[in-house]
Amino acid sequence: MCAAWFAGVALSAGAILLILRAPMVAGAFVIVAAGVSMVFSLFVMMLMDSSKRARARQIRFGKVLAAVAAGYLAIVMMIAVAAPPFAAAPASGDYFESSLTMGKMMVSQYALPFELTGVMLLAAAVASIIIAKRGEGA
Amino acid sequence: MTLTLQHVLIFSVALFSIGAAGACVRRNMLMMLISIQIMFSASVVAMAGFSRWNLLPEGNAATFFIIAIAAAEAAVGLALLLAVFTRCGTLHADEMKLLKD
Repeated sequence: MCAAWFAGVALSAGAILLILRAPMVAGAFVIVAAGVSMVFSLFVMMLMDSSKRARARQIRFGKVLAAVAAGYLAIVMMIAVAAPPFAAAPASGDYFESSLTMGKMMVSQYALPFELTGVMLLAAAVASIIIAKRGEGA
Repeated sequence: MTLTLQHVLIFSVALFSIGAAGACVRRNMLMMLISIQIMFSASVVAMAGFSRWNLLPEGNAATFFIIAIAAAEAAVGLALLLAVFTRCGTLHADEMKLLKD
């Protein structure tokens, strides 16, 4: 259920990215979030311990304390955000919205970070396989 | 009603706070990982909002890198969870106290 809620949150965030005129980012975000939520739901089904024993180990008052702390954080950050007077969004042209702009930027201005990101993703994939295999062997 | 940057940022703040609360409250490491992903989503929305209001496509490009980092974090995090579960038989964070000894 929690993985389904995460998928809902990701879809909502993707819709907001579309409203913000970033269709390519929204597409990439929704694709990644769909994969992540699918894997999460698989792991939740495989590994979650929903027995009474697991529920009994919850920290006492932990939920209340965390809710108060999160509410306080939200209020403080919202006050900070609401203070400056922001105007409505300026009209965006084709240059901003176009995926061509983004693609050109990725292979020119951000070529090195783009390559490094690819290497990082490859390293993460290899590392996850190694960690999972090592866990099996232990 | 006109959409302003405040609306986007307030949504982002609310999402981040929900993720932070989840990471603090839940003792299951899988739930903590999902909460961290929610915090990543909040940062993506905030970044895209700033990019839209300043009309800078560079912000959207940076958002791609945040998404890639979130994906890598999920991959490694889930592998770690699997290794922890096969070793300890539980994902409860309070059971992981080997570093204390």
